[in-house]
This record gives sequence, C-alpha cells and structure tokens, in this order.
Amino acid sequence: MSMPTPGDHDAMEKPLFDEQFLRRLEKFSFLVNKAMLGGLAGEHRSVHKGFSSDFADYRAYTHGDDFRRIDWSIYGRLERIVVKLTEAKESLTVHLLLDCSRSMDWGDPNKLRYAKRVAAALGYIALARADAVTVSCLGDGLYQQMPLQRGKLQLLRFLRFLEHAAAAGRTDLEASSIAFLDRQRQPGLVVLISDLLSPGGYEAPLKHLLSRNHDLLVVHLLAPTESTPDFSGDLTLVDSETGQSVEVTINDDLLRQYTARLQEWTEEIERFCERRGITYLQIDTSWPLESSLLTYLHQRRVIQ
Amino acid sequence: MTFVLPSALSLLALAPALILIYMLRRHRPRLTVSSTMLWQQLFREAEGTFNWHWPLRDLLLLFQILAVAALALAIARPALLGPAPSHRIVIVSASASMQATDVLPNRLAAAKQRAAEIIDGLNPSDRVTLIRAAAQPRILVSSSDRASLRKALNNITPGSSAANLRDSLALASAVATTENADEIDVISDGHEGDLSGLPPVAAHVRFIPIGIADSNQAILALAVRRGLAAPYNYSAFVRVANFARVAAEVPMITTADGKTVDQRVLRLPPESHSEMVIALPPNVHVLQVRLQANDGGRTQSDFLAEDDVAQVDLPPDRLLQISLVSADPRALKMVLQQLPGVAVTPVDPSQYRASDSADITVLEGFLPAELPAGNLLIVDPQGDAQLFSLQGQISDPVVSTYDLTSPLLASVDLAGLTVASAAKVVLPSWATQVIGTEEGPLVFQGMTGGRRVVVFTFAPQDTNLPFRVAFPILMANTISWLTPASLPGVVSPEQPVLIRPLPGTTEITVERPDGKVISLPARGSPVAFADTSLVGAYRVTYRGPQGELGSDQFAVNLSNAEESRIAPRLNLAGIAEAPVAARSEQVSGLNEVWPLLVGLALLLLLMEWWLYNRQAVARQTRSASPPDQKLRFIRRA
Repeated sequence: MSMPTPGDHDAMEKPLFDEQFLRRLEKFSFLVNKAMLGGLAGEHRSVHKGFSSDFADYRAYTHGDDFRRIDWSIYGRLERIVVKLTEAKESLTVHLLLDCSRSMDWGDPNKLRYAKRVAAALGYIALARADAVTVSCLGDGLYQQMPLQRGKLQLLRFLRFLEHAAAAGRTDLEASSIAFLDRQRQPGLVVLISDLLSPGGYEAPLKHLLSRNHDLLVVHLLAPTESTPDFSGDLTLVDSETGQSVEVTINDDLLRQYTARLQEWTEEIERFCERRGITYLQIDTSWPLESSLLTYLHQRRVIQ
Repeated sequence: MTFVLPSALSLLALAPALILIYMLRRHRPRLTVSSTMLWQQLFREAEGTFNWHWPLRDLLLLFQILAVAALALAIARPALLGPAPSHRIVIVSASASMQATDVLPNRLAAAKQRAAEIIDGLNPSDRVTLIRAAAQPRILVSSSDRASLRKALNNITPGSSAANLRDSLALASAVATTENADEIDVISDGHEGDLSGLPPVAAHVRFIPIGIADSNQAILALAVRRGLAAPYNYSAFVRVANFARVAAEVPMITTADGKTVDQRVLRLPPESHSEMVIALPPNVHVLQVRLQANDGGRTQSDFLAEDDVAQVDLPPDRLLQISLVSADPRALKMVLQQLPGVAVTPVDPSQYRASDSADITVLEGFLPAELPAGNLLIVDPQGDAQLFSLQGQISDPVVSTYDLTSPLLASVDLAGLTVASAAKVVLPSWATQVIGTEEGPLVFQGMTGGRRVVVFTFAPQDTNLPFRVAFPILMANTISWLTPASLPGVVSPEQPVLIRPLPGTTEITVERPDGKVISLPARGSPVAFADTSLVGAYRVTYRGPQGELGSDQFAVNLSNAEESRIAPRLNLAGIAEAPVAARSEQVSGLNEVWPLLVGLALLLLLMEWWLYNRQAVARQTRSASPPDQKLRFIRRA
C-alpha cells in the first residue's frame, strides 16, 4: 500500500519541463470550436470579417465603406458595387483554472504538480502562438490569479507563477468559478484542471463557465491510487481537505464497488460535458506527460 | 456417526466469535486520502438499501470458519459406527531355550518374524498387544501403530530363565477382558512349565510352536565344597546331561583361575546325564567348566550354547576383621583368637574412633556416643546405650528361658550357667531374647539400622562361662551369625543377589557379563541387585570416599534342565483345556475420523494463507501496472 504524501516539495523544486519538450510544444496551437473575440490580431479565425488576404464573402457597398475594398471586376461584369470581405484573424485568450485545493496536493505523482505541468504545457502553446494566457488558482474561492499575459516574453513570469502556486483550502468550484467570471470577462478558452472532487459538485460551476460564451476544456486528473486503491483491510480513511474520516473494510468486494462508483462518476461527468459541448479529458497522473499528453491532446483535437 | 467427546462441539461457538471479530475490527490504521467523497457516496448508497454483507462471500473468512469448524469437530472425536477392529494379543516367549539355533538365526528371531507376520496380516485399525513372556511377563506395547509395534518387537531380548507363561496368560486374559481381545497367540518353543489348572482365559488361545530339533548337551550343576583337611582346598561337583535322542561325545574342560585343571571327553548315552567330582588346587578363586564340541565350536549336536558354560566364584581368602574395644580384653581376645579366619584387634576405649572400619566390632564394658559401622557385639553394656534402654543392674539373675532355635545356641549347653550380675535391659522391639531371666534378657539378638547386633548384658568374667566348653562354641556361633555374608558363588538367572557393602562403602558397582556397569548407592545396609538376566560372571566393586575398598564376584549359570531340554512342544497341555470365559457381547466399533478433520483444517488454513498472499500480490501488481495499461481504463469521448 503506497501512502501518498501531501506536497512533494522535492518535485516542486525541479523545472516543470525540459527544453526539448518546450520546443515540441511550439509546434502546436489550440483548436477552438467557435470563433473567439480576442480583440487583437492573431492566428485564430474571428467571427468578424476583417482585412486579411483570406477571401470570405461579398456584400453590397454601403456608406462609409472603404473604396479600396470595392471589387471593381464584379462591378464591370454585373454593374453592382460590392465590397470584398476577407476573414479576420484574432488572438485567443486561454484561461487556465488550476485547482489548488488540498485534495490536489496528494498522490504519487503529486496531482497538483502534474496539474501545473499540464497548465504550463497548455500555457506555453498559447504564449508561443501570441495568444493570451491567464492563470487562476481555485480553492474555496479565487485566491490567486495571474493577469493576462501575451507573447513568449512572458513565459518566464508565467512559469514562475505556476511554480509558486501552492495548495490551500477546500475545493469549492462553484464559488471560485463565479469569482473568476467576475474578474475575467474576456471570452476565450477556459481550461479547468481539477480532480473535480468538490463536495458541491461539478455541474453548477461548469454551467457558470459556459454562460459567458467561453469554450470550455475540462482536464480531469486522477491519481493511480484513486483509480485503483492499493490499500486493503480495516482502515480509517481521512479526507485531506475536510479531515472527515470514514471507517472502511477494504476487501475485493468493496474495491469492486469503489471502482464501479468511480467509473460511474467519471461517465456522468463525461456525459454532462458531451451534452454541453465541453471537451472532457480524463488523465491519469501516472502517464508520462512528455510522451503521452501531447499525443492524447492531439487525438482529442484540443491542439493541432 | 457418534462423538466420543461431544462436549467439544461447544468449540463451534468460535465460528460466530470469528465472525464477530471480523465485523468489529477494533484496530484501524488511519490513512489520508485525497477525498472521501466517493467512499461516502458509496456508503450512502448502501444505506439506502438492505446492505446485508454476507460474511461467507469473503473467501478468507469462509476458510477460517471452515477450519475452526473442522478443528472443533476433530476435538469432538467423531467416530463412525462399524464393526469393531479386532484386538490381538501376541505373547512372545523370551525363555533361555529360545536362544537355541536349530532354526536360524535362533528361535527368538524366528518367533519375532512370526509375530511380525501376524501383525502385518491384520487390518490397519486392528490393535495388537505385545507381551514378552519371561520370568516376569511384561506388556511391551498395545497399539494399532505398526511402527511402534515393530519397534517393540525388535527390542525383545532373550532371557536366561524359563518363561512364566502362566502369568503371561493371566496378564493377557486380563487385557482381553478389559480390551475385548479376540485371540491370544503364544509364540514359543513350549518350555513354559506346567500349565494345568490354568484359570479361564477370556480369548481363544492359539499356540504357534517354534523350533525343530532337540540336540543339546548342558552343564546342569556345578558346585564347589571346601576340603575337609585344608579350609581353602576345594573340590568341584559337575553334572552334565545329554538331552539328544542320540549318544554324544563332548569334550569338557575345567579351568581354575584361567588355568586348565581338568580335561576329559564325556561319552553320554541318549537322554542321560553324567556326574563327576574334580579336585581343585588350593586358593582357587574362579572355577569354570566348559563343554566344547569336537570341532571347537557348536555343532549340530548342540544347539544351545548358553548352558555349555558354568562358573563358580569362590570367596576370597580374607581374614575376618574384629575390633575388640575393651579396657580388659583378655578373656574375649583369648576366645576370639581361637576362631579360624579371624583377626582380632584390641582397642582401648580411649583410642576408639567410630570411623575405624572392621567387619565386627565388639564393645565390652563400653558404649560410645557414636556407634561404628558394621555388625556389633555388645558385652556388659555400660554408659549411654542408644540401641536399647539400661535400667540398672541385676544381681544373681536366674536363667529362666533359652531360645534353642537361635543359631547362637546351636550345640551350646548352658546348663549350670551362673551369672553374678548383669545389666538390666528392657528388650527392644527389634531384638529377640536368646537367654532370659525374670528381670530381663541376658542375651538378645536382632537387626537394627541395617546391621546385626548381639548383646550380652553381663561380663564373661562375672559368670562361669569362661570355664565352660560352651563359651567358645557360643562365641563361635555369635561371630558366625555376625559375620557379613559374602556374595553367593553362583545364582540362577534373574535371581536377586543381596550385596552387603564393606564398611565405609559409599558406592557399589556391578559389571555385567556384557561389560555394562551398574552403579548402586550404598548406605550401610545390604543392596539387592536383580539384573541377573545374563549368564556369566558379575564383578562387584565396593568404593568408598578414598577409592576402591575391595571387590567380589558371582556367577549366573543357566543350570536349568527344563530350558536345556530344547525339544520343542507342538502343543501346550493346559492351554487347550482352558475354558474360554464368557466374553461381553461384541459391541460396535468406533472408527475415529479426527485425523482426517485435523488434516482438513490444516489444508483449509494453508488455502487461506495462499489466497491471502495471492490477493496481496494481485493488489500490488494492479497498483504497479504501467500507464499504457491504464489508458485502457479511460473511456474516450
């Protein structure tokens, strides 16, 4: 029976990634399901028509249109004055919501550190493509936030923020998501990295996050010993967040029940997300991040 | 099925106790997990329904309960009713004649082989009681375990005397009565004496004869007597018998202290005996007579070697040491010195020491505070008497009674004995009066504290005894009675020998003919030695705190015509006529099955242990499985 220890400080002192992995990350960019209103020009297709070289449509000339955009060849053939529209390219804002509750500071490997690495990978992809990144640490509220950063020059600040993010408090996803929405009105890609072990449930916070026209990605982290407990016998299980204890006699029968309950729970989350167009990723923290995470994200069409 | 010990079924109550312990589980280690949310949901769901967790679904608990049940049943000793296993009593004769070699290697080995065949022919559950028939019959083992039976059978050693089949059968009959034996097998050559009038035996008696031949010559008697002219010259009397039905020529050699003193060839007609007297040189200590076959060893004409040798150990030529403690020893010294083989040492009372050893101590007119070891002759007791009570003096006592049966008065004529004065003594309980008066005894004898004591309550010079012929005879008889008996020169097999330790002896060792030395503690009193089952010479050594005090020896000769007559008997008169006593009605046998249940319990515990370890290994393997395998558990959207 492995006894997970909260806060793997040795691991925290190590860099989140090596340079080779960062170079691999630069090759990817986010795929978003809807056009984002990023404001600034970027690499993502905007819902607005703009002035790029990519043709989008024609429309009739109206007062105030730029004469330079009138398609004179159409006028010559059809004697109608139309304006040629091109697609606008805007930047994406990636909001990384990092669950920093004490339940995340558990497991081997440590779930919080794994979450930081996932956040770092996704944030790096965004910064490398001139997208904007915000990071919010969630607990029983929104207790720490990195303001919007853009460009690779902000990478160091971004990573330092992640490394200093510490676990604290209980998980209250609803309160913390409401606090996040109050502060961040810029729509974009919201990435919630959490174990979703919130006594208040996951439904309400996800609904709140969807209400602001965000594109939502849920990265659900599970430690190996959460998926398949390796302990047995008569035990008193103590909740790392609340300190509440549960007396259990873990035998094969109960382990089967637990595994079934866990599977049922994750399937509920998955169905919930599917119905609402939320991308749901369940990741086991025993996966080697460098070799399997990018492949998995690519297969799930989160990045391209 | 029934239970021999049904009260043990109460141990089945341990099974619910096991379940209770399983449910209570007091000691629960605390383990911090990320969240108990899912566990609590699991139990909340369970609370909503009837959550009877059937304990037997846990295989480990199931095995434990089954093991407890099997052990409880085993302790209750369940038994299946069925035909009773038979009980056979096998009597193997270990008489001297069973050493005859007419069947190879000898009759006893053949008897053991026959007994082994009987045991092997029985069912495994059948019980066998094995009895060794010797002078004292003994139950060697009573069991159904073949290994222990075979071991006991192999340990049967031959005896040197006739087997007491009468007592053996009585013993077997008692066992048969209490243990419901079916049959008593007597394996013997039939040399067990007269069995007529044998009490009813509670089982069928079957006689299995052993032996085929009768050829044997034996020394039946060897006796030595002192020569009349010289006290230490001996002559030997030898009787040799031929028990064969054909004539035999047997060389006979007589040796004295290892030197041949006589050699002759005996021509013995069939079933006859011959007697002869052989003159021996003086100072012989060990006399041995041996029959030898013509080829120097045993031949087909003599199948029993144990009766071909006889030996006599003659007493050593040692003077009897008498310590005479007296202030005026003249009268007693004069008469004691006249006795043959006696050395008298006068000791002044002031020089007396209790530690001085002597065969006989004479205390005249003196009673020390500490009495010496050995036999005592007390004359004219004065002082602190420990062995009896002194009550003053008797003047001119008149002799009123004589005990003419006393060895002290043999050939002694005391008519006209006059005594001027004597000590007045109350006759102690350990003594018998030899010469008495109305006021008390004049002479009494007896044994107390392991020694012989003779008391003369008067001084010889106060009587007319010193001037009478009866005086030296009386003293000779007294000294003879007080003389410590030496070992017998020869005894029969298994006849006890009384060994009288020399003064100062603290330990007696006896070396048997096979070289084994047996130590006997000596505390002044005679010691009985009964381990005389082997034929041959026994050497006795007396040891004191300072070392060896002296040695002696005796011989054990077979000299048993009944055992030397080795012709086997095909049936035993008496046994066949013995009426079979009415036996109790045959009861159903109880075939106990507890060993199977104990084995089952052990097997269940092993399976429980194996399953427990298997589950532990499986859990470790699951938790250590590689990530690629875990990917399969993740459902893809």
